[in-house]
Amino acid sequence: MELSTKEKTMRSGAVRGVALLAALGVSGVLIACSTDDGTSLGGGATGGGTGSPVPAMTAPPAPTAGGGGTTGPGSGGDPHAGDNPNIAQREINYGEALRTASLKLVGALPSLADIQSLASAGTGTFAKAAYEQKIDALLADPRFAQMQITWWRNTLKTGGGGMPSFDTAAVFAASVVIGDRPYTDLFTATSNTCPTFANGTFTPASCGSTVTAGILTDPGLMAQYYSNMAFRRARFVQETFVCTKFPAEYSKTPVPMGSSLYTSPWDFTTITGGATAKINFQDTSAVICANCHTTMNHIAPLFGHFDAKGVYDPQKISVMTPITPPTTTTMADWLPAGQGLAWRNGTPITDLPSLGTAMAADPDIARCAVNRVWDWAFSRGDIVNDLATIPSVVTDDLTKDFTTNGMKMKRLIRNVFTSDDFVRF
Amino acid sequence: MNRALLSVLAATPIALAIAGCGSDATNDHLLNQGGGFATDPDSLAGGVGGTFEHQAASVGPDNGVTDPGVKKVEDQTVGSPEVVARMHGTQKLPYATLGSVLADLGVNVQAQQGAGGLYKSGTSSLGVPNYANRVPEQLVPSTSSLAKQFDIFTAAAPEVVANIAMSKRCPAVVLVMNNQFTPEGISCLLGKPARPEHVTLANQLVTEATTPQLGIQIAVAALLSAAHTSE
Repeated sequence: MELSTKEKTMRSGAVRGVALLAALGVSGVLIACSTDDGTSLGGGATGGGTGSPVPAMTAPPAPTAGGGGTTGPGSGGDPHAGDNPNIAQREINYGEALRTASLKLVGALPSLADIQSLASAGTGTFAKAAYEQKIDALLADPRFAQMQITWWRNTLKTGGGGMPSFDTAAVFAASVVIGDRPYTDLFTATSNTCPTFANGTFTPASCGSTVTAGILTDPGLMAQYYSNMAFRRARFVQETFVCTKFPAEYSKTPVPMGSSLYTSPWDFTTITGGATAKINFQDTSAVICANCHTTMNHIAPLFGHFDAKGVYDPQKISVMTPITPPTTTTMADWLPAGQGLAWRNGTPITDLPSLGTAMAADPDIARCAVNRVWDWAFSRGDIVNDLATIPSVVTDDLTKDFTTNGMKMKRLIRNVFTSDDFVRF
Repeated sequence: MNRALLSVLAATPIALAIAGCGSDATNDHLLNQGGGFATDPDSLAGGVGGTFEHQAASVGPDNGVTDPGVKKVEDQTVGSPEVVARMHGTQKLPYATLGSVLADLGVNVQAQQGAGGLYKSGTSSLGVPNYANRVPEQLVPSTSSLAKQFDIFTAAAPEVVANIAMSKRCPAVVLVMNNQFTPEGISCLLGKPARPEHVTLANQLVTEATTPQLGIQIAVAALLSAAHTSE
């Protein structure tokens, strides 16, 4: 599309204008709130405001002298983090924090009335309380539900209608958040895991499958991640809910093998291999396949019962083994006879509900949820795709609060958006 | 064409690295002998549907294209991993959010021309999701997305100036009085309290422009671009 002459003239001037205002933005960040927001450096307490619909953390992280907040010297992380000028020079700016929070939580800028009331709320604890009330209002806003659906679509990398619906997993996950249900319901819910959303309302609905384990049995999700031997589904679960790529498990005593090290804690022979196997997962000639596949092959068979359209058949494996010509996968293609399924080495499972139960009990699942929310709030990109990893010390307190208070995502989101780090720019 | 070339260039170092690891450069296990599925069960090469396409998957759309080495170097300019994790990053506004922000300021995002036309036709450069291919919305700012947003805000400025007092977001707010911006008006544009410097610089643009009206539009475009190219 061609710009008009007028627009081109404006664009030329706007370039200079942006440069000026961008410089102002930078300087504004550096000197923020010394007068505008007028708040003192209150540290990291995140106590709840009066009447908050979402309880705050009961064990707020201790403030630190270095302007740190959630973590800092002596907390087990980078002992010099608080001295880093990028950290030390941040100052509390509730106006800036409300803007980015509002965009993320309801997809719109805060109203002028909210901006002005927050700016006139005073300083210190008064400003903090006013800001927290705004966050609570955003979490109670009907638009938050739609934004959560969108967030889950992007997290799950699926969306849209069709048959099966590619939207029900995201809608169900959002309904868990909005309904203040435990995060673990994503893996353990036994009914109504294919809801719809219209006019601000979630309508429960069954997926129609003979087995239900949260979104792990969502037809759209299974169709979205259909692949040979169901490995894409296993990888999806790993990367989305554990926040790391495979390998997922590491032995304390790696063993030299082939051209590299065998690092898995599983016995090497617990997966299919050898000269007669359709696919030799025990191959070590170039890479150690078993480093990843000892975990993957103990999970993937459960997902192998969903076909390309996400239809579940407990009696039949519906994925293919990629040989020439491709053949329907058999259990022996994944695991040798007598080898049981498992979420992790030492955590046996028998079916999809038990997989969900095992995942729900895995502390890595909880930490991953916390880290995903943190990265979203801080505009850091995806923890796996964009390598936006987080040292555990940064989110330890949040994770502890999350796991000891019912794993409620809304509470977690509130804690992150009101955390000391979040309101500092 | 470009995409195919990039794919080849991206794959070349990986292929060379793999080939370099073995003593036999003609190792059949490393070759895909006919596209699609590898014919050798032990093959490590893969086709479009091949299970063995591990290397391609690590840099494909499934996993993004972030280079761990580049990321590490970039992060080190900021500080330790803990420092980096505790700092706000910069992501662009999601497509739908950008539309809401514009509409709330009085821009007709359904229009075929102007800002609305640029917005509607800019879905690719603005990184909308492609869920059918398991690609989420791209929120990491790209050159194309930043340029497109800049164009949109520039084209939107006249509409914002004309409609802001009747907008959903700032009804009855006076953006400009006697060719001078008001703090309330700028706060409305920014979504946060306007600082005195915002007002001063905006008014400076009005003063220095060919005409005040053009200066006002330039200032609005500049304010919107500076504020909203990042979430």
